[in-house]
Amino acid sequence: MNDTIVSTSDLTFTYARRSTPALHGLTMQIESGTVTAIIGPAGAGKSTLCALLAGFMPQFFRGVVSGTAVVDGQSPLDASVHALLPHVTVVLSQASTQISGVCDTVAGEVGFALQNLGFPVAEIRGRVTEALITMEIAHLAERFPFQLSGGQQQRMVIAAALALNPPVLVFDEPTAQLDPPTVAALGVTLRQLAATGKTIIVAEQHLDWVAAYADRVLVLNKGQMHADGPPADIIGSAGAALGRSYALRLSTFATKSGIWRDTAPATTIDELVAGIDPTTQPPPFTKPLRAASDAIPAQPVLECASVQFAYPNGIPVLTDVDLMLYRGERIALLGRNGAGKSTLLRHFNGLLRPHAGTVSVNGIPIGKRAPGTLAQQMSIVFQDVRNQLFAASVQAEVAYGPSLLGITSAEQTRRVESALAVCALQSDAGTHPYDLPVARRRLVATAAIMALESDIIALDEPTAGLDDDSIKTLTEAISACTAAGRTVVLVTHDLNFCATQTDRVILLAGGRIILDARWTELTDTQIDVLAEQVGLPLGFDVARRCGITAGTALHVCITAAEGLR
Amino acid sequence: MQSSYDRLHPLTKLTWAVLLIGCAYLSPSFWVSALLFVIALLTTSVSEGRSSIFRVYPLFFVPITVSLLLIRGILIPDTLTNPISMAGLTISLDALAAVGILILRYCTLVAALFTVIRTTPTALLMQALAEKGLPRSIEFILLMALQIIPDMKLRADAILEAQQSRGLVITSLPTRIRALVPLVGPLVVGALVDVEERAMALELRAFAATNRPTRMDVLVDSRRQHVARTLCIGALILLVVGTFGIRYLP
Repeated sequence: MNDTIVSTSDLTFTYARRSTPALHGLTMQIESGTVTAIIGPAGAGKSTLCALLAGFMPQFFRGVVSGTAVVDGQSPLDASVHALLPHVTVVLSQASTQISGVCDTVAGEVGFALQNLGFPVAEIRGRVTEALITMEIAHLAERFPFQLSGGQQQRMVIAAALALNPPVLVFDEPTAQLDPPTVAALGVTLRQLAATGKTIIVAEQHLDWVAAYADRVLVLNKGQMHADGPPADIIGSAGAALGRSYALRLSTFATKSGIWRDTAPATTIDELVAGIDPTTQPPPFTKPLRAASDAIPAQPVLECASVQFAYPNGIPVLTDVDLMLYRGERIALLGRNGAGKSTLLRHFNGLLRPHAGTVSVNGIPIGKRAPGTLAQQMSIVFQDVRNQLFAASVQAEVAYGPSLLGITSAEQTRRVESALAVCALQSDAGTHPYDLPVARRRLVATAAIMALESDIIALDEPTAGLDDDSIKTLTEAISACTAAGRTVVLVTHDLNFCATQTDRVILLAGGRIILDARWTELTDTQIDVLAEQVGLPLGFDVARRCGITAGTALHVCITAAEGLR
Repeated sequence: MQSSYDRLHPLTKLTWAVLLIGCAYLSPSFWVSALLFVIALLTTSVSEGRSSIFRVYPLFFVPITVSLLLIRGILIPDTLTNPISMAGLTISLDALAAVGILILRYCTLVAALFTVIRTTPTALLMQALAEKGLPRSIEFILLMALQIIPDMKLRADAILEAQQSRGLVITSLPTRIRALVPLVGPLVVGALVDVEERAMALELRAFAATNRPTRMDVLVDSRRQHVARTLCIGALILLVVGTFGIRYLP
């Protein structure tokens, strides 16, 4: 039995000007050398607990606190964040907000805390190099931190935490902006750190990731401890986890389909592989994904022809991108961090102009048309919704876009009401967007774009920070869009989400499209490419590990994907 | 590739800029002010990133020049000496010279400081100041001030993209006015949050730690630069003492 290194006793914290406590009577003990995951729905208190353990309360977040907390022998309620750094550090969910702004290079940023703590230069260099290699960003060491993509910044701030090497590392949704290979690599790294005696605490929404890498799972709900136990017990029970992992959904579906030979539900991919009987023919599809044979309009709604783009420093970002999007399609735009996904997205509505090649919407080249004039054709929900929200109420926020389109007020009202309904925001219509939890705020931003009823709607990392309920709402909103004939583009690292919500996958690598196919038509080679670049959705991964090749696996894969819906 | 100017010790660049600014503010002559402004521009021209810096200058210079000319040269004609009536407006060459000095002082300040900031990594500038005994609290305030412009620029670009993506088009003054709230609202909220988050980020990087910090970068200095800095400071002190001495001593 390891020693207790983190403990709280009857810990309650209420933010200033709030009546309901964010943490309520929390008592827990965490042993050293373990990976402990904290899960729970939006507003459960996960981020509050992470910030509190790192010493941010009440120094940065004012409020009323009672009870005790001890981290590596220190009280985070009494010590400053920097005084706690030799004992504990935290990686928060928004990477861009954790960049000090002092350092001009990634390496400098990663080593900045060590410099301030007075470590010898040789040791700093060694730790920085090691952390950069661990997070696979050694090639970015001399880049300016603010010029990195969101995912690269996330890797950088994790590297900065790893370089500090404290006995307790706290992560608040560390995977939110990372591509799947990096997410998996981070899991392995955290396990390795735990094996060396480090204590890892991770607040996370990805239950499959938690099941794969955590030793123990704490479930918070409304600031209180809802459940506590090993991943198999917690993640294997939707009631305990307050959500269902994709593995659990898939094994439940497999049981219903008669291809599950185990008795207990699966919580990890290994259990899925062991449990699914690849020799049994699964039942026919009830809701097949759209196939190539489905009618496709002759005219693409958006076309990129030989698009090339480079940033002012001369580094090419997009190279010879040829692409056609059709009305009613649901497309997953995938790629590793820095592959050029966001840059390509910005070309779709003229926010960026190609250096060579053309982008056409409904057959008309965008040319020098102002992006705003294309909103009826193409609109984007960006990752950081703070840049979008400004109105005093959810209703006013959603109404802003339609008010710019020159449509009648009756039509504006219809669109606003429809968007609020589809994003389940009617009850919050009069609320200020910033008074809502982050997950609901993201839905407000999505509703504001849905109300434009554009021909193409793009969502950049739409599931980041969303809990199960919000993801369900988002899924329904996407379905409503495509049912109305609109095209939806998802730029995401959430493979299970996009595999179940899209028909077609486009894979970018090094600014080039290296794969463009329907999920139903992926060949073995393409599945290998996908696996190498960004990993595989669970259904495909299970089939692959079961030794089923694409030709015969297709049925299983698609059925599996259907099971995840 | 850095120019010889870019490679100078941060304090050498800063001292030169302060000397230029000090001279500009103490000079009562339009032509001396103009000469100092030209020297500031020449300093910019020997830096590696001169083309990008020169592209930014009109954004600073034009609004202040226009507004000062309007306010001092035209809108307050009562204070004018030797007035000249032209196209229904009364202006004065003396007043224009006076306002010209003001404009040149401002432009010299912007050019001198902007060149230092754009050619010197923030970390090195702070390191140089810290090595001369600048307290960490002052360093923190300076950092915040230096970071706010690039931060706001990045956020403003992102906000503009987000609002354009939902139909915002700015074509005329009325549309510009209507766009103010959707553009400025998130910027203000973002700036307030950013300051808080930047403070948190610096705290997470142990910026407020009381240890003597280690410096990974070694600042290159030389005896010649040290002498140059001393001469600049000496000249500035002489100038201040001389100016105020002449002005106030009996």
